[in-house]
Amino acid sequence: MTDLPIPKKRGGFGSVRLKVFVLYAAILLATFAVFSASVYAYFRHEIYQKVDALLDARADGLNASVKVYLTTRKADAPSGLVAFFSGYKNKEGRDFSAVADSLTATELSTPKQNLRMASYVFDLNGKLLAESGAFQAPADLPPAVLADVLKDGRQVRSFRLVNRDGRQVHVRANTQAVMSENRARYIVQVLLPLKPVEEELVRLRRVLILMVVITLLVTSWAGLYLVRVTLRPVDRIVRKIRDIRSDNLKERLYLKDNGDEINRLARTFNDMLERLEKSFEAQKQTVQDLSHELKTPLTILRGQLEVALRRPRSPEEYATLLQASVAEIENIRRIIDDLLMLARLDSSGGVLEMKKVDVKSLLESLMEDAKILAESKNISVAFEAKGDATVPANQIHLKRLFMNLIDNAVKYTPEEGKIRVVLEADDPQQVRISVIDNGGGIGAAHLSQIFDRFYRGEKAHRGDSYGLGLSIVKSIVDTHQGKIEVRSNPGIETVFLVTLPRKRSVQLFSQIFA
Amino acid sequence: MLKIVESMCRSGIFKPDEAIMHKILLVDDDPRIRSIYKMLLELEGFEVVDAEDWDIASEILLKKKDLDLVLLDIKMPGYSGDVVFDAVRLYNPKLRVVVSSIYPLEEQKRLILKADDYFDKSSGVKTLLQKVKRVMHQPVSGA
Repeated sequence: MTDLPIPKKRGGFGSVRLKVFVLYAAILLATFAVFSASVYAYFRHEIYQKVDALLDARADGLNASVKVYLTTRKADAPSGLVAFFSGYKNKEGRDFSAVADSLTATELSTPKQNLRMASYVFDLNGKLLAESGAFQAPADLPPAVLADVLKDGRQVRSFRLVNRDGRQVHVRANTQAVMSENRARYIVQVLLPLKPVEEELVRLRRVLILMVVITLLVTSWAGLYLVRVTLRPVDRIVRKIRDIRSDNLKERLYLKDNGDEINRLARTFNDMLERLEKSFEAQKQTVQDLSHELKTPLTILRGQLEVALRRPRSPEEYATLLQASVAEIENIRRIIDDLLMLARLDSSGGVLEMKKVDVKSLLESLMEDAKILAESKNISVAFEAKGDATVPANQIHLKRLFMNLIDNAVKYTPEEGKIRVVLEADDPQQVRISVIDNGGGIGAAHLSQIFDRFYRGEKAHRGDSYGLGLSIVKSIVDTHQGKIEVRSNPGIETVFLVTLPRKRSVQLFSQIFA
Repeated sequence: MLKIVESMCRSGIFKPDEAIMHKILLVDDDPRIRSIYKMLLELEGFEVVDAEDWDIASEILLKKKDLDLVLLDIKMPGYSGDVVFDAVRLYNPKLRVVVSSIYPLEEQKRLILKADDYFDKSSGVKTLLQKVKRVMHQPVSGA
């Protein structure tokens, strides 16, 4: 028995395990990624809304304070505005940024030093009039921003600017026009550097990614464990099946009573083993029976020859002996032929060349041979046809079937007996052919075994028969999808009833392998 | 055909090598085998009674108590070999039993444990004669 190439992997990743694991991890990763991205997007949106609200409040405050200046001083000149703030500084001892800060102090929820906002006042040409704040923006308002603000009254946007000491800063700006008497008079701008906000978001991103990685690792490990636990019985089955050879087909897989999929798999394997074992046993039995069956004629042949060789014989005696030996060899040849036929019928699996065969004319043509066969025992053979029918069949095999049945009947019928062959074709589905003899009948104990290979009934005479005839009958009936029954009325008659279908049905795989 | 062989055997000059006529019961369901062995053993000076099945054989065993040896085919329809063997020993414990069959010898020994000898029919009539004569000179093992 050669080993089949079986992958040697045992504890490692079987391909199913790997597939399940990869799929599981991919689903987890996708879920976590969507979830984290949503969380991140939500927080980012919230932070920017807060930033915008803060900028809005501060710009509104600055706007209001410039308006106050306009209504109280009625002055319009830029120098006047600077003077206003300067005067303010002088009066209170604080500079412009302190004024601006005081206007928005109540709005600030975050510590001022973290936000480092800057405030600017421009004239309508974008020229810087006054400024305050922690960093130095370029002197004048860019013309594009100026145009937007003069058109819409206000603008909120993020951009990068290079401040006066050459560093690039990402900022968010709220730029507003200061309106008085339905026209724009000045432009105020509040800038917030976005660096702290961005740093906050980077931290959030890092935390989220770390969490995704940790969760993925933990759940993957758990998933791997689950897959392993689930597939453990499969591993057991594989190991067990690997150990099963033709010489230990009695082994069975262990079954639990839970009826799950894996249990069903094991059960199916056990059923298959059962069938294999039976078929192996049957093969073994056939080979054993065959060797015994062939040894019998060989023994007789040898016995005859050895007895004859004990002394010189006349040519006539040798001729008789050789004729007898040829007859015995013919016996051996018939056994081998029949076995070959059985093997062919077994392996054909029902795939034979089938043609429409007229049963009535086939049986009529057999009667000649049957009568010759029956002559030696003075047995009469009669054929009755009730109707006419064709069946899909292999002509040669069908002839063999009925010849074997008639041959069998001749053997078991005493001299002067009667054999009848009856064809009934009244059923539209099937044709029934009976071979009836008035021999002694068959005891009930033997009925179930007569189709077994090499089985011989009690009354069989050795030498005439070797128990393959009825096995061949059974095999031929099977390949024609028919049925055969034996009814026996001991002491009166024996009936072999063959039923053949008029149409072949398509065989299912399950039937072929059952 | 068998008649010819019989006549050939009878015309041969075989002298009984035993002063006393030993009696052998030959049990075999094949008529050709029975006929060949009977001729052979009778020409060797044995008295041979033959039986084609166990029913006839058991009747003979019950009636004839002066048998010396049984040549017993253990493969006969209807009975299993070991049961028949045990029955022979039960009917007549003094009887020598040579198991005769077409099974190989090892298989015969596995099936029947305590026979006086075992004979594979395909090994030829010379072997049969040797075995029968040797067992006749031995004391009965089953007694």
